[in-house]
Amino acid sequence: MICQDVLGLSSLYFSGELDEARAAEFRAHLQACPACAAEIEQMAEVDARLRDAMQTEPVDTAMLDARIRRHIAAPSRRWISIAASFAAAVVIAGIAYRVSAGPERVCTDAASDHQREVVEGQRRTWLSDTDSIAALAVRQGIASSAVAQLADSGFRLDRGKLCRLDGRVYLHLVYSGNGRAVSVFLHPHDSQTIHDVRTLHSGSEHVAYFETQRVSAIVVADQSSEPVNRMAQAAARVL
Amino acid sequence: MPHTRSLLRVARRLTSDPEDLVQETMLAAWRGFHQFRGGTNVRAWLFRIMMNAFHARGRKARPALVPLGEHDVPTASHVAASAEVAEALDELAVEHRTVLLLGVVEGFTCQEMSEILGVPMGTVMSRLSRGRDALRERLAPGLTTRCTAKEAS
Repeated sequence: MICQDVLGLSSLYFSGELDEARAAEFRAHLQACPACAAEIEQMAEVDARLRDAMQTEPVDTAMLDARIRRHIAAPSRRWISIAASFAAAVVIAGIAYRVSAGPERVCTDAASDHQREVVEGQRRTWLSDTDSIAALAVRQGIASSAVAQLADSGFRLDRGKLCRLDGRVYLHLVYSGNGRAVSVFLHPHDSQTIHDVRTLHSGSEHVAYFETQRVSAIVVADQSSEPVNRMAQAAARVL
Repeated sequence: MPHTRSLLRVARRLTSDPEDLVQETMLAAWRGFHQFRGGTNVRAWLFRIMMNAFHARGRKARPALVPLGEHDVPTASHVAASAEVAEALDELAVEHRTVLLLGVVEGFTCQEMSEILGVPMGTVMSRLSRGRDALRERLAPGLTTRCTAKEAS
């Protein structure tokens, strides 16, 4: 891969759309070429500043939502003529929204990811030094301080990489403690809805899911639910 | 209402009447729901409707800068930093601004943006890197270093 390829592919790199082989080539080039590495680093910084600026801007939709509801509710000949499809549309929209926003699918994906890559140790390229993991976290819009603070719950940060769950790119971190490995999957988001920690089982995995204003997070461990609960409670505090 | 927050955040960096654009989008979505294909991404579908509406109206591309509120943002320097970024963003060409908002802020992939905007993926990718360059040039002038080496060893 030459420098020009790296610049050309940078958009796909940031969006997590490079396949494993291309991503590995991309990273290898960055390791070997300080100029490209610096360039990508600067782009990531600009992205982070932009995301931060836009996501911390208050967006109040209460008035707008009310306006839209009024329009939808206002009866007119036109509306009445499609009143039958209205009820159906609302029901389907509700279902579609729940499906797209619901955590079940992503929890199942996270559980099988943990099973394959942590329990069965499938070959994957992991980052294991703290600085590279922190840089990866920042590129994904996750504060590196949070990654460090998660270890305060008595776990040690072991390794990290990116993975895709239910179509979205997550930062997959593996922490260990007392001979147990815990996977933490993080994806930045900005939602006014906050989900408290919910736990569920998927196969032999114990899974906890929650959302703060900044991230959606899934914690997975096999064998016991104790590390999951401990990590999830700690994570919900710092993220 | 789901998704209006995301739509509004993007709309107000594109047009001076963002609430009208989002309202138009939601009503069009509501009327056209039968065209929505199950299994596809509702959020991407809504953004596609909004971008179509935006282009169809030939809206004024340059927004009036939406002032930042004070309650959500922690410090004065943070407000200043956000305003600086918002201003730099507002100066970019509308197609660059659009892909930065959709890709970087809203987290859409290049593939999704290609569908939302109805342009080839290569176009999305080049707009994104040009947009990134332009934004970086405004936020950190002089930092831009182009890698000229043909190949790294």
